Amino acid sequence: MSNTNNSQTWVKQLGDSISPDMAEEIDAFETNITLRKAGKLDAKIFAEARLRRGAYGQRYDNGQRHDGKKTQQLLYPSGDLVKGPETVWDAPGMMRIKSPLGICSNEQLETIADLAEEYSDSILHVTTRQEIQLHFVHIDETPDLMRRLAAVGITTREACGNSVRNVTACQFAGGCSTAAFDVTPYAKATTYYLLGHKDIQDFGRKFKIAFSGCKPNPCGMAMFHDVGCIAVTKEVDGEVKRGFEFYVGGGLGAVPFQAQLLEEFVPEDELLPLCQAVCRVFSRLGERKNRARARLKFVIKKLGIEEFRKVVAEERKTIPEDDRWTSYLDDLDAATETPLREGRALEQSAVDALDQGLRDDFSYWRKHNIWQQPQTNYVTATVRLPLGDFTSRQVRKLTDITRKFTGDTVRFTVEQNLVVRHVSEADLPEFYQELVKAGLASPGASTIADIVACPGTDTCKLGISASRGLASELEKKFSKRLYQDPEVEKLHIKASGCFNSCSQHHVADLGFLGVSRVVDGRRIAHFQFVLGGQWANNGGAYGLAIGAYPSKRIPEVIDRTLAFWKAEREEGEDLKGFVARMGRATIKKQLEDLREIPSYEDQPDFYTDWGDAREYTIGDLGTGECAGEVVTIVEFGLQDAERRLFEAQLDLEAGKPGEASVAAYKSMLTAAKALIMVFNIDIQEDADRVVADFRKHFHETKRFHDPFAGAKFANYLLKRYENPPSVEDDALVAREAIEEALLFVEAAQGCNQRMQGDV
Amino acid sequence: MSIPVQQVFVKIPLKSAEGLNLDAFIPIFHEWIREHSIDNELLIDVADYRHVPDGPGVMLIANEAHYGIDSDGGSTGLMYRRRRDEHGDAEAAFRQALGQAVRAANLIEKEEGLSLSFDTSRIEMRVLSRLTTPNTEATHEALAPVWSKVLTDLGFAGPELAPPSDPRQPFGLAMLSCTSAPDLATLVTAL
Repeated sequence: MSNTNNSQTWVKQLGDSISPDMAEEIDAFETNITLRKAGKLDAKIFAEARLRRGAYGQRYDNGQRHDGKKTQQLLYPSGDLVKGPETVWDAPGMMRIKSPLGICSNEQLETIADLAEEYSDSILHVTTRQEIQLHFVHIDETPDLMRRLAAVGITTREACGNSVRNVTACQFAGGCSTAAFDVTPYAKATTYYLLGHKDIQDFGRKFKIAFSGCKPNPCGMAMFHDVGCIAVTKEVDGEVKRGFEFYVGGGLGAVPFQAQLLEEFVPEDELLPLCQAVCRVFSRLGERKNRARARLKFVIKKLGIEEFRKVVAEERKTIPEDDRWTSYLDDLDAATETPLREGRALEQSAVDALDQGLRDDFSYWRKHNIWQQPQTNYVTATVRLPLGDFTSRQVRKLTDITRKFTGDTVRFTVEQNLVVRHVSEADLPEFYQELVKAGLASPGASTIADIVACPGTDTCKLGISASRGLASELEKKFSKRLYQDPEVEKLHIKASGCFNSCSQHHVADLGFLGVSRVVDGRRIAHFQFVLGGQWANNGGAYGLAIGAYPSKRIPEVIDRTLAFWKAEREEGEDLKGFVARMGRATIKKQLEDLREIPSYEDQPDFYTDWGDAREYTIGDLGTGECAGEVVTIVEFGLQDAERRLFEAQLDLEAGKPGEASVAAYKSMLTAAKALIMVFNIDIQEDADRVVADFRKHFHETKRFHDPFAGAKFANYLLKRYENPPSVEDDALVAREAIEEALLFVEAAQGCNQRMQGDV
Repeated sequence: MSIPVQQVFVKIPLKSAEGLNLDAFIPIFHEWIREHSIDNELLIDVADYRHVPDGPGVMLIANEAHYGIDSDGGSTGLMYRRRRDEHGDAEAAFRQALGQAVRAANLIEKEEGLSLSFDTSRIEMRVLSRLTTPNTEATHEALAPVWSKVLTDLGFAGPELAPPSDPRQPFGLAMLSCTSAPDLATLVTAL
């Protein structure tokens, strides 16, 4: 028997398996924990330090939780000790684990599985940035967690915080027939060149980079990143040269921006210095104080793309030469994966050998989960992970499968799945059977059943509605395959718990973002319904909201919308085209009755959210008749603001961006005026008066401030007031105005709810 | 020398998982949080993993431990998994974890409308931490007698424990069978 004792530590156990640099970084972080616990490190500084190491906060980490009837204090043993402003030390947190390009080896996966078991809840969650998150992790355990990751070559450095986040790329790179070339070595080089680089340590906000092998497919989503690189080739002096279409300033979030083309062709040897130059410009010119305006897209908006291009070009000239810009180009093949087995064609006899029931399931699974590689007789298989989740035990079954059939790696996808590459077609039936045994054979990858959802109210501090609860419900519904329509099957659904677009709902065919409403003194979970987005073409178009619907009615909203489309569509007309042709007003009219709220007495379940038994609201208003009357007037005003906002969307749709921009501004003024009526019932519809009163009663008092976003939404109105919209505004300006107005009106709803004393 | 352990996991399988409705556990666990139904635990939240095949089902997240109706590893039952405890005496840690698990299972048996009962003759125990308890023959040799003693002291007769499994899994000692096993009520009193 080998004896051990409790003086054993992971530091001793792992010994030299961690690189000195990584060991030093993690030791330094552990020292920060010690200092913070001793009260010798400021909470804000510690918060940024832990974020930069991937340790995030989680819901209820302020030490309070509403149990459906009242707010309870969570009396953690650490008492007043905090790990950031209003973030209790003992409260469970989230650990984000970087996997550049979503690539993970068997050993790395198995290590993360161990960590999930020991420090989390045995669940690995794949994010839309192709990485893994573990939830319910205690901050004290993060240094050992990081050490064990470091021992297998994984860093959590710059996984969160104001830094370059996980670099993403097509999961099919190197096994894709539409790609100009394999972007893997370039994306990897970018990752490791910028990781910890001095030029990216002083950003005002996060910075996201994506690589795509081609334009039409959406795997890389280059169009909504701060930097998006699409592989292209060009003939120069009779020789085919590799390079990138280089896009900048894209982003989703509260106000989505399409990326703009910075350079049509950036030669491969200029890729890293150009990325560096953009980072340096962002670091120098990016907003610092106002986080809502701190992304690169706002720098470009302010300068204009032409001026931004000039500034970047000037910056590029000042950067000292670095060997790493080109050294990796000498060995691009190092990133190429070698298949484990010989590629052989699938023989029907192997399929026939499956049991009848399994044979049918295999056929459907193969239809959507298999991607034909250009390498003869090889395919890439998508392992669909419902809501992006799988267990530690499933990981070990998966690595058994990859070791047997393919080799050493998998890649996570932006649709919260993973792919196993280089599967010999002849092995598919056996491979599938193994996946079935592992509970990893969910069919319908990238179909309407493959729903993407952010954590929402499950674990996110910002979640307003239960995006995962909704997604789970919709996944069950659409996995039954009752729609029997290939065009429906192709659609994408994405659900975010708030306006921050972590599920990328703007580029879904059917997108949802969580909001709430108060009816008769009770708060009810809702989702704004976003239509008209495009997943193809690297996220080529963003949808717009047509209205907020009760969370419990969203399945009906989808059914009704799809039924209308199927009944009225023209031949070959996709949903996006249908929405454009019919107009949002027509579709909204079809859904009008679905906004109705049954009484609490008739349907109390309606007042809970999906997957949560707690009442979403409590009615402890205790307001007198007079106040109640005013509240009614406020609510009427807010409804009027929503109507004006919708009209703005219709104007934009009708090709009248100037009118749309003006109408969006008016909707903000209407919402502000509605709130002001609580203090000044005689408020006039005059921008100067409205804004003055809004400043006095709501901005300066911080009454309008969002609990998390602060003055962000109030500033949308104040900024528009300083620079009023014009009928000359173009579509880009109008779209931004509408998005801002949407958030302002939502914030006004939230403010009204807070004023009523609702929690 | 005994191996110090931490993060003990105990699962008490259901006698029958047929017709099990996981949905019912969401309101039950929320109620437990609201009513502080489990002693010695700061109950925090409910995690819904019903969508994960053979996964942890519905979990009750707490500061000291997680609970759940778990189907991982082939059996469905009440799961208790200690977290964030110091390394300590194995026998005490096993008794503590088993005690919390049987109390939670007992609460579930008492839930009206569920009609669930637990099979105490197939209790599983794992030690999640790999630092001092890797899944090896040596750990098995050291800890199987300790776990057997805990069970025997509680009135289990002739417990037969499973041999070591896949070394990548956490160390575990599943009870394959036993001649006789005390029921939950007896265990609640004894622990």
